[in-house]
Amino acid sequence: MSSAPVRAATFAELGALSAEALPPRTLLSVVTQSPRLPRTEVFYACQHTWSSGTPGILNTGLLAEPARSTTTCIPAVIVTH
Amino acid sequence: MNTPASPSEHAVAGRRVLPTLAEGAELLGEYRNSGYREPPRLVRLPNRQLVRLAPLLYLVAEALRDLPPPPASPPPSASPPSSADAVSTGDASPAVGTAIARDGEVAAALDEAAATVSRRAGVRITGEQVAYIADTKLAPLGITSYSDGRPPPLVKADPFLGLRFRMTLLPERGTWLLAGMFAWLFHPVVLVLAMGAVASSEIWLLGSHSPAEALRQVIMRPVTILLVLALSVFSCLFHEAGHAAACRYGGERPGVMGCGIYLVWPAFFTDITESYRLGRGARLRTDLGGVYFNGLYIVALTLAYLQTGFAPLLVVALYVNMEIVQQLLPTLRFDGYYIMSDLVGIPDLFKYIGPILSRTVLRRPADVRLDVLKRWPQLIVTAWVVTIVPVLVLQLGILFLSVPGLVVDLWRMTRTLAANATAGPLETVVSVLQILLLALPVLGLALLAAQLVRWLARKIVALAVSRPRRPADQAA
Repeated sequence: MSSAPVRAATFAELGALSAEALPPRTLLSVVTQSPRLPRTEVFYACQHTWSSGTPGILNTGLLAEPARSTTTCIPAVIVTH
Repeated sequence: MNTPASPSEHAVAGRRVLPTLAEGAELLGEYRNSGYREPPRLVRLPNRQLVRLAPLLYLVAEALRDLPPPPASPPPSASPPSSADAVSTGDASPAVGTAIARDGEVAAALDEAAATVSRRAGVRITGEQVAYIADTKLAPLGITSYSDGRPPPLVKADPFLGLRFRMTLLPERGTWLLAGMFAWLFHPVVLVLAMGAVASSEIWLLGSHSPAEALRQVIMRPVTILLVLALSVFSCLFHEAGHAAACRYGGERPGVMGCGIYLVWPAFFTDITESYRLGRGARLRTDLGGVYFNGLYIVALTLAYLQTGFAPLLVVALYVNMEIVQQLLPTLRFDGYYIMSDLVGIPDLFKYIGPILSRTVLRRPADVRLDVLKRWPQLIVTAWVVTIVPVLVLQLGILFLSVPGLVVDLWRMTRTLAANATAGPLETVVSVLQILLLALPVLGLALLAAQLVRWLARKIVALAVSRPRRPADQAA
């Protein structure tokens, strides 16, 4: 800078001079990734049976069989997410 | 910042006080390798906040600091000024360290400061202009007191998309000791050898192994999930140690280390604000210190895998590589942003988004903030803004859109955990940690939304208050 002042500064020029509070420099590392426990879904295939039963000998109820139904399910599809 | 085009409005007849440097403020000198036409200067405030000043403003602060104290005089009364021209002064008592003197002596001191500044700056200013600069530029930034004796305010920057919700894990002294343990890794010879090891590890890992099979092994056992999670978190901590070590190697003191929520993610951080005092090369070394340590971590994982054949280590290496890629993106305030900032020598790039969009997109006259930049940094920052703003909008949009899915996942996992009473301890711990990792982004979003609402409310109020009342007969 020169030692002898050359010109006078105006208030407008001084008002235009820049000054700012600097942002802090905080360098980051973020946690975004994580493996997850698998989620498992099971889809079953089911079979239903129905028996109306029997009335017995000469419809007397002797040795009669009652009506009954059964349901049997087995895992058919297992999906893991 | 308000800049009245007339002498200081705060000067009151009979109550002018010589502005002095705030107690504890330190003039640090030039901000090296900057992108400004005139190299700016740095000032450190008592609360460790750094301020950038144009050279002339810095010379005024320097001149005020170097003025001899005036002769002792009785302090003014504590009652507020009675002049009709007085503006609200708030606390009328003078600041600690503020020199109080008769008006003639104050004027003489200001003239002396003006002469010093004029001699050094090559442009003539008056004592009145020194008071004007103190009142409109220096005091509002907390550097000096006002010319009416008011103390400087406490100033703290509130940067756009900065880290807000945080807590300290390691104080400054602890960071200094930790950095000292690893600073030797930045010696040039060590650096070259280490980079060679990193390159070899990456080529061997990525070229000969598929992470898919390793990932399948990881997810089937809770203990491996815990291990991968722990090693991933440790890689983040080691990344931060890299920044601290690089800052210390460059000759500056790193600040605290801690954790918090950045936007919606849990994050670790290292405060290396003191690195503003370094040259460009040393600042870049500090910025890149994190990913350098990520590379060293990958070397360690590779060696451990060679020793053990433990496949989940490959998953950790994959996550660390993803972390490196994320860090180098210059969108949000990750390492890539600071690298870009230090390459062009402009501390806060986000501040230029508004002026550059205004000039480039809206075709308005160039903002004065752009005129102080050199040509090449201005072009690079313009290219950055034009590229980054759509990416940033997209990134933030995706972030917001992903949150409903996060909330659903969080609810489902919580229900599963509550319902699965017979789960083993490891499954429980893994589920709890995963719920935590899901809950933190949701919490972060809630805090972000609250901030946005508060900001909007403040803007609406400010708009309503500042709208001028037009007379009923004003012609359109």
